[in-house]
Amino acid sequence: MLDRPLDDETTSAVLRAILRMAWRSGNHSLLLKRCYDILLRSFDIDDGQPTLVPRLRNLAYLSARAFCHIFIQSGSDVQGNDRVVASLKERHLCLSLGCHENDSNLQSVLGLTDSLLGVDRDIEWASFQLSSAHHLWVSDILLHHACNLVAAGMQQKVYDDIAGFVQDTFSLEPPAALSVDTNCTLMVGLLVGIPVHPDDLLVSGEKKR
Amino acid sequence: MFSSPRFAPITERLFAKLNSIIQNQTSTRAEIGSALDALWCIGLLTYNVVPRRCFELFTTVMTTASYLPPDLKWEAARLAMHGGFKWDGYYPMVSGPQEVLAFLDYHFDLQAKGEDQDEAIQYATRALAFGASPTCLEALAQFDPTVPPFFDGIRSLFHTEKPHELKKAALCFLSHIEARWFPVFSEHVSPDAVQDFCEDLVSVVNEVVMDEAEIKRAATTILLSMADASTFRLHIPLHMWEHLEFVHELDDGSPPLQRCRNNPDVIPALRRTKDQRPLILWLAILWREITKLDAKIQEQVIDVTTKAVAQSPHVEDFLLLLLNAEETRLEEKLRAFSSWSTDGGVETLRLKLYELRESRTHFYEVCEPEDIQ
Repeated sequence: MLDRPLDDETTSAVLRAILRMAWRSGNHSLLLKRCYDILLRSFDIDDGQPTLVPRLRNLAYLSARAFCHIFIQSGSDVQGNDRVVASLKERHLCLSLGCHENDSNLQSVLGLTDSLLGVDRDIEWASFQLSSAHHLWVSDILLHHACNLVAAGMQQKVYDDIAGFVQDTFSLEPPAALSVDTNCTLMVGLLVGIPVHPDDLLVSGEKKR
Repeated sequence: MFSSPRFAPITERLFAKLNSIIQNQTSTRAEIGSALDALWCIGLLTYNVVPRRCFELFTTVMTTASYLPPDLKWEAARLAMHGGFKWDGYYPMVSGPQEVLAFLDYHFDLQAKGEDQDEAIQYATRALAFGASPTCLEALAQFDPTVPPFFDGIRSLFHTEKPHELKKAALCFLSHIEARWFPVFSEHVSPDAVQDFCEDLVSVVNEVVMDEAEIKRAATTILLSMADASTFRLHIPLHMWEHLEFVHELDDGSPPLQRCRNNPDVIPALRRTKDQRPLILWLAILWREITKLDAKIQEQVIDVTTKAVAQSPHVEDFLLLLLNAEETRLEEKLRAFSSWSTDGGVETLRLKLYELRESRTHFYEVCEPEDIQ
């Protein structure tokens, strides 16, 4: 559907549908590229500096989430780059540098997108105030990422990628939702070699938003 | 504190794994490093099970993990102690103080060498201050805090620049070891050092005393310990004496309270203070059980009360008010039980009420002899 020209409302509906699905097998690089293009379309790029188009804020959020969702679930975070992903990484501009301070959900998902596309910049989890639904989605997707790393024998990278999020979540006052704490505990378990049950990876992003 | 069927087993499994890595003598440095990363993260969680399991892990590290390289052993102990006692909502029970004291010993030593160990010391102090079981408190009473590095280490807990939470824990910890601290303190330092410590202590009391009932009890215990020790009594400022109003929150068997009741130097010291309110508070405390006091103290109480009442009739009203309030408090406690109860605790309450009423009659005889005749 995303190959055809769609209005913003329909595009958002399709992106929400993407977030309701699991993308575990198959090559989804073209869909990734479509999501990425929608994301970039939400920004004005002037002299190499991306600036969010205010009316497309929601589209930016949904497309970035859909991108991370497919990217991590399909295992592109640990696989050797295919041609499409390699070209995305090559042309990617850091999107989380812009001023989105009043929208932590957007800021955090742009930070994740940057990180997946090779931008070496820490995500400042402690500076965000995530909505509970978004917090849960991030915990789901990072748990999936941590599992991918362990399965690919990159265990030593798990701490670097999840520690900031887990520490910030565990330090929240009042505490985060129990499902988020559970996901974070599962991530901590991965650090010491406790495998995660496949049921723990049943991400259902959109309905939790 | 809530839990879920999914969360609890995951957490238990995680701690079982951490224990097995720590206890396995063949664990590699990398495996232990990952376990410590995990322990650091999980230690931040605020669910009851986490502090409890962290403290169990701490005990394991301190008692059985002698094969660990020292740097990893102490790092593991610090992280486990942090997970055990970082949170105000729940304190795991410390059944014996040995491991925590060994941990403090090591970190006081490092601090003496110039390292900043406030965080490690703070959590260990919290363990002894707020987590100590009755058995642990008994064992602490036998602990000699004047040996190095504890003597300097404990004094340092009260320095102005120390964190607020550390000062609170230090005050409570000191209230547990007061009997082996205040009476002998001056044997180990110069008079100037006594004064310096008093100033630090008083400043900590001022800073933290309004926080919680437990801290108020600790501050009151320390005030009484200072009042009982001649070298400290001189340095108690007027505003600290006013914490006598919290004495009713202490158990009647509180050792420093018992010592002060039998100490003939306390009333003269209070008479020398600029304000008479602390003296009147102390008289009210003593009047509650005047018939049980040593004859010399009884004489002091009657003499000072007579003089104070002669100076101001409000003193009599105030003392009577406090005695009546105490009667009401005991009656309310008794009302929770059946009038026919022969339970030992109830019998003790009845006896206390009887003695209080006897004391009040005696008080009338002293203050209003003409009415009695």
